[in-house]
Amino acid sequence: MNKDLELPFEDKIQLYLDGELSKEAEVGMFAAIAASDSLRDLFRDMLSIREEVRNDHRAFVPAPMLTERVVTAVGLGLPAGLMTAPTIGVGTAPIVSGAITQSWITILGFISALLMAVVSGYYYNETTKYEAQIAKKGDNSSANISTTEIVTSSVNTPSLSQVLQQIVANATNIKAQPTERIIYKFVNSGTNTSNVAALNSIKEELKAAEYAKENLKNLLADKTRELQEAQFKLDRINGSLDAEKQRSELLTKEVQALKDNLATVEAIRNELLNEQSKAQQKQANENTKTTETKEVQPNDTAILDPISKKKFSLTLGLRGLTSQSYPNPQLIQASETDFLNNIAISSLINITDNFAVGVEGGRENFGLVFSEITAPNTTVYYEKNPALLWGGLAVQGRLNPIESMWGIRPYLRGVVGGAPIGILGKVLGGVEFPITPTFSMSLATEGTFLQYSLQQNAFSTRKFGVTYGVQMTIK
Amino acid sequence: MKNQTSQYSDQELCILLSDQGSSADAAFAEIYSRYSSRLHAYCVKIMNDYDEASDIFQETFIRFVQAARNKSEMTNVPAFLLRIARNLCLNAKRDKKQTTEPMDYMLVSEDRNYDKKQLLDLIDDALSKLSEEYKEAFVLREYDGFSYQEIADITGLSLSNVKIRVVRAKNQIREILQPYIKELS
Repeated sequence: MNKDLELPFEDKIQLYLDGELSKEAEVGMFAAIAASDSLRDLFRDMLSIREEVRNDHRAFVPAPMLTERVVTAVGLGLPAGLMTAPTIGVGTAPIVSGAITQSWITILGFISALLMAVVSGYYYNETTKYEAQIAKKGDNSSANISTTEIVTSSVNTPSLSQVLQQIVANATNIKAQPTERIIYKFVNSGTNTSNVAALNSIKEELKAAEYAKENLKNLLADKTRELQEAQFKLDRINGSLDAEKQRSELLTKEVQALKDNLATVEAIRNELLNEQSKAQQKQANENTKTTETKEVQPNDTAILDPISKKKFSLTLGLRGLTSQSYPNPQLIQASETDFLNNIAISSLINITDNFAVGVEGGRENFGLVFSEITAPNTTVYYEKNPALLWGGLAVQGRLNPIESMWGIRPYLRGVVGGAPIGILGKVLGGVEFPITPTFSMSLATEGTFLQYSLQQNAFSTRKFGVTYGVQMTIK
Repeated sequence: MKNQTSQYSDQELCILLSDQGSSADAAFAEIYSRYSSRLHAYCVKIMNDYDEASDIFQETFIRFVQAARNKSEMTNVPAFLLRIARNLCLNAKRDKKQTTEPMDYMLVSEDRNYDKKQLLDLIDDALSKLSEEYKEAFVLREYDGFSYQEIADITGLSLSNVKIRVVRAKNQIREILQPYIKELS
């Protein structure tokens, strides 16, 4: 079975145009073309493309210089002045063309041809009139002299204008007559040898002019192509140039930004160097000053007293007591419960802001219940409420100020010491209220334990109450 | 001599060329006259670079003359010439691929303004958009006028493959050009 019959009509058309479609398939293809606008368009389009391809002078005609290159490269020569130009297009015959590669020679040839045509024009005209008269008389002898290759002219002798028209027509119809060889031969009746010579001369000159024309056309096409290529390259170069310009501008901006950054960093560095230099200078001055101070004022407390050197502060405190003794003495005299019998003073050194040590002492009433053996089998029980002096070492810890509660500082203090009758310990827990950086008030609970002995019997008393006071900090 | 050589067949011209006598010049001129245009078109269209195409065109004739002088058998001179040119083009393209960016030409081609073009330029652009196989098939058929069988001989493909390539190449070209053909015609 013929495979072409199964092909789409589009493919059939392509094959038909290439002469590759089988006869059986052609029938269906033409029927389809007749019925379809799109297939007709396809047919026309492909013919247009083919026609255009065959007019591609740039592709088909090697530049004259290229032809010379090839001839030189293969080491051969071509017939002088008649180097045949290549065939144009597919299936066309060679075009007669001169190998005159120098344009000025061709131009001169063209001009001389025209001059010759003008000079011999009159004489030639007369000749053709004479020949026309002979032809009218039925003299057919001229037909015997015709050459074998007659393509462009009839057996009758043409006029000069007809010859020129025919030459132009031949030149322009080269593509339209692809299978014919274009040879410029002029046919005459041969009755007048001088006319023949003149016509031959004109023919040669016109042929030269035609060569010139063809060469100029070739040269023009060649230069046009070169110009297009140059323009093409120029466009590419311009495109590259634009890209490089943009890149250059971008790089310039980046470089400038980096320079700015560098300047900024340099300025910061210089500033830091200055500060460092100043700090070093200041440190050096301080060292010098300290050295000088050591030498000049050896008794400076800042140097000699480590506490002072560390800028320890001193807190002095005065507080009153309101407390109850346990066990309660039965008798408490009013004079023994006044303020002066219930006070304490303290002096604490602030080792840090949160920790302090120091001393504390005071006077307060203690409820005492004890017994004494005054005689054998005689024991006397006492209940007293004496105001006793006491003193001891104090250790205090306090928290940082609580800013959300007016800056109060909770603290805890312990005191270990003694009174004239025994040993004593106190524990205080409360808060300090800062009034100024120097002064503050305090409120705390206090517990006291006092142990004493009599006649080798140990007794103790305890007190619980509230204490309140003021402190002054000396820095 | 010219009139005489034009009557000779390709094989007779090759014999004259191999003799290296005075007739060799005329024989070469005749062969050049017959086939240079097709060869030139092939080189230009396949290489898409006029300078490279010219070099290959020249090299093809040099190798052809050498082959003729060595009395190599040439049953089909145009096909023989095209085979030489094809191999040279393939080599050049392979070398070019190793050194240049293949997209470079395409990018420039895309920048062109279609409105200002003639159909020939559009055909060139359309050709550049085809794959190498289809482009070669189109050039051998439309520019060089080879029959499908001759294309098969030149490329070493089967006849059916050649048929497919040529038809598809032409369909693609037409598809690309269709919007412009009516405007230009």
